[in-house]
Amino acid sequence: MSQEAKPPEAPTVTFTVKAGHVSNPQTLEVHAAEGDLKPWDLDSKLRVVKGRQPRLDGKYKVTGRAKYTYDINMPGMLWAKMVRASVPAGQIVKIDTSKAEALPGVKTVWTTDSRSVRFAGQDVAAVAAVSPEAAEDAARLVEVTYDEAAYVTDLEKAMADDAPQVYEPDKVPGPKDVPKKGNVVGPTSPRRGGNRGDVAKGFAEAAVTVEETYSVPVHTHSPLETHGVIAKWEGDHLTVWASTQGVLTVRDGMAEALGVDRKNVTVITEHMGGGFGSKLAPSATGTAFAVVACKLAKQAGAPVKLMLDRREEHLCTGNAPSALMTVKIGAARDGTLTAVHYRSFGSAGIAGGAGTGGPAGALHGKCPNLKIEEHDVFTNAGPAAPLRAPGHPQGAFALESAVDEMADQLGLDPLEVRRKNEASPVRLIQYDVGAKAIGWERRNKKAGETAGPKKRGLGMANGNWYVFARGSGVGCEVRIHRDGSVEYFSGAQDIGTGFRTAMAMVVAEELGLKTTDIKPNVGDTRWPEGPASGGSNTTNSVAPAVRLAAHDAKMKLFAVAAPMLGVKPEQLDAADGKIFVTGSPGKSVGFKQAAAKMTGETISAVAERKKQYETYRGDLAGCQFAEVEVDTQTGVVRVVKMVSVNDCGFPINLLTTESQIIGAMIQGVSWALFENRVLDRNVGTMVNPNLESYKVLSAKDMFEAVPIVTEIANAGNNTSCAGIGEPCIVPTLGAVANAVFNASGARVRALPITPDRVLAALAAARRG
Amino acid sequence: MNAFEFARATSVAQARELVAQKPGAVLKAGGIDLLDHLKERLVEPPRVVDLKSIPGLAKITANPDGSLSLGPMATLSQVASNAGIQKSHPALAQSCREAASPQIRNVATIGGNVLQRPRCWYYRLESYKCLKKGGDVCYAVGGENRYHVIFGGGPSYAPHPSNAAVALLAHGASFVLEGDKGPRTVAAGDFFTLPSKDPQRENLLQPGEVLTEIRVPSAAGWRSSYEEIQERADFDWPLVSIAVAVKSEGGTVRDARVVLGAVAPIPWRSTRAEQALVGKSLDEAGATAAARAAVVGAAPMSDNSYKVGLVQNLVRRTLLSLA
Repeated sequence: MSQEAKPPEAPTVTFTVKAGHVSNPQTLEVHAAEGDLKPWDLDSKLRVVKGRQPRLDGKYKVTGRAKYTYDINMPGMLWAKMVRASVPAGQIVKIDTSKAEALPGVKTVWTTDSRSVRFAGQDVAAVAAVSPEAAEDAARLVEVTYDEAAYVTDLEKAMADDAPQVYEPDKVPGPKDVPKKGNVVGPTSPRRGGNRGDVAKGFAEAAVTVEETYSVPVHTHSPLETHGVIAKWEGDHLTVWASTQGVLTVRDGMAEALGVDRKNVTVITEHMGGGFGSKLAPSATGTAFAVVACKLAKQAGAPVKLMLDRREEHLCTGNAPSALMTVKIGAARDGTLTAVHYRSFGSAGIAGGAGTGGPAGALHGKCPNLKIEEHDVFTNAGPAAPLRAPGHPQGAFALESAVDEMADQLGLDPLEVRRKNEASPVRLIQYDVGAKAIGWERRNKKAGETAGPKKRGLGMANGNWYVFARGSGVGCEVRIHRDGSVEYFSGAQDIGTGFRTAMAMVVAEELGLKTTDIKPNVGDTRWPEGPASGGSNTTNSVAPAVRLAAHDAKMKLFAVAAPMLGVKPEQLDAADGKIFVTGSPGKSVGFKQAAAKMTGETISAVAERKKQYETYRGDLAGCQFAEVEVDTQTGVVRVVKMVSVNDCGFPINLLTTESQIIGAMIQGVSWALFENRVLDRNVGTMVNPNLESYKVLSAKDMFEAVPIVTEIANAGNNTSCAGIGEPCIVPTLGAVANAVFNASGARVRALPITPDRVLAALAAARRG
Repeated sequence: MNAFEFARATSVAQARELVAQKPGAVLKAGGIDLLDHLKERLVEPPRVVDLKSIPGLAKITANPDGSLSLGPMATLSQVASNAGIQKSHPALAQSCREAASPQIRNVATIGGNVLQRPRCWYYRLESYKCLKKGGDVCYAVGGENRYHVIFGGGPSYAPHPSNAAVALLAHGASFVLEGDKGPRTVAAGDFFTLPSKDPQRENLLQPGEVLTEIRVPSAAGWRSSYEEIQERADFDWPLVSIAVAVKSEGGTVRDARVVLGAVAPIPWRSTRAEQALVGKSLDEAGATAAARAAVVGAAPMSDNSYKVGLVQNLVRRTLLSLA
């Protein structure tokens, strides 16, 4: 999993690789599992991989031929609609479905067994009817009686001793050995990184200390396609078309919930309209809608479609927890950090997992003294779900704002302060690349020094992530057909990242073909297993298995081609649609000619992912630079330009890797400037459960987005790739906030950075 | 939404008749605001009567005397892109260009924009039985009121949403309404009504009445400008908007109209700011005095006092842009 992982105990094969960045190559000996291939490294001459390949399914997406879950309909299908709790806390006294059942077109209903309500939006009942209109009408006729109870939705109020309790004392979730008091669970330390040294000693040694508190509200995933499924039973076999990041998670979740065998459940996700972590659960974190759809389908004896609406998407499918983070930093006059004490509280609603200490544990690695304390605070609100680098964008915003404040107090360049405390050789390279791309020398030497009401400035921040990969239980099948066509099969789903195209590139690389020659088949539990797409692990987990399968299929084809060329299969190589004798490219046979000679119709090779081994580095480095314009008369902030510098190991498809980096900048800027789930303080229900007043960055807010990949031969698997989806959003929030300060002198410590807050911060700055 | 009957009217008289026949029937112009109401079941009409099928209602006419006759069914895009209006009544063209998003501006009408209901998030959700929906409480009071009013509030505090109305008021427009007793003309300044009169209405339009024309007098001798501040650069409602029209002679302001949007339950004409300007020159001192005057009497709520400063900065800046 990371550089700390021990070499596998099973038989290994040792490879010597040239790893790291091209500017500073490192010769490493790695111990791969027997049968694995030598990893691609800095010496590899790759023809396809690392190039820019447009998505193979792009034309289907732009012409509407790509069918998403939402687009799938079938004869006899029913439409389902859920009824959700309208109060934030209490007991369900009665659910009366008689009027709903009497409505023409209604076929069946479901009601919850649970009586406790802990957030407004919780599952209560569902109806299935012959049309979406009938289902909606019927859902409105379900009468629910509640015995309402006191509730708390505000993070800080929930921390108070006399706050209403979200859970009864004996039911508070969380590990046994962690302190629990009221709604608060903690302190804990992050799973990675963690404490070192002695912070009291570090602060005593510091010439300067900065201590500030930063906050981030709850942010919802808001994917374009809402959660949803179509469930269809044929006898004992259940097929589920799901908008999910994990077809296997859905399969296993449905099998368990419905008491059927996994082999009797098929889950299909051909195209998926975004999830960002909210679609990792079998249904979603705050609703069992998919299970309910399967039950309704069984009861009605007909396929059932259940797509959530936008309001439900905001209320019960997950969110990024809020965070209240106090950062204390001590430093010497030259900017050398002597201590970091990071303390955070956050609410994941009725769930845990609001920790934000990851960046503090990983960044500024030369600082000798570090203490991290994280706390979960329960509130009567929908449970969180992982959201693109869970906790890290929030934590990096706080930590990197504090470092920026420290630099300002010392009169130092914030980039120089970071260099001084940097432990990652990769980030040191990235600092130079990013500073050049943004023109760092243009930054205001004194914040807000530009003349005129509209002021520009630059800021930067760091981010971190980890190398996650599933080292087993991941497979791929590659088939070469007699006509020379090639296809691959991976159960893993393409969640919009371009996974299916990237895997086709790996096959093409190995077989010496063009990517467009390869037909991808992804997102189906009947095919070799792939991981759920979380932790930026999909490409990282699957690509090595794809390469192995393609390699094995190639060797089988070489066995067919060898007699044609009068050589041994081991002497052959493949490139440009030809199979040729290594060292004598003139001695060749066409790929198709060779395929035509196969016995039978298909050569098939199935490969399993070999274990991940020690890598060049187990962490992923990144940093970002932002240029913003602040209208100091109105408080409006516009991002002008962003530069995002990233390590993802080797990118497989540089084009879609850059696309993910651009997407993260957009999502991060939107988070920094606009997005904010608002729960009414008196009623406890959400006032902006839509995309009108839950504001996501608009087209006109778009800025010049510059994605940069610092290619690192990671050498932890045979493709040297790592992940990109999550690391690239970690620094964005902090970079924007720091740029706002550099532009205007307004230090906004609460996100989103809206005009009211900028005006208040400007007024505070004027007061000194 | 509920199931309803859809009727296409071919004349204003027929439209009025189609509505009169079915209690609860509603008129549809561009349908943007209506669709939101239908989807959230804020209205459940038995019949929707479309005005789009009535010929001539979308006509924009520049009259020889410099005045404008705007058909209420003219789209915001048509008004915004009309070269004549851009020149003669710049604040009006600008206000229509700033509204919503390009897609919506291509469908939404200027009449619909003026008559749309507030965007208050409590009003817009069925689950909050607020004053505007016949309930007995304004949830913004002591609630989530960052976008609510600082002038003219009580008992309801939802801001008026129309951009165009702010500019129309600054241009001294009037509305022609056709009802049972024939057409009547109401000045824009009289048309919009405060919640203290009736929290469930924002204007004088009676049930069964149809807005058939918007008259905008000649703006010869006037200079005008419109600006709005919104969180997002596009597809967002203003935090504050402003339309200013000024008539000057020899560097001295003779007449002025300062109208603020998104700060009151109606487009808010600041007569104090206007009085502060008249007789002064349009310079830093004059603009600053008008800005100060504009916020006299402001009564911010718990979370929207930023609007007071924003109004001052905008009044000053918009006036100076005309100097």
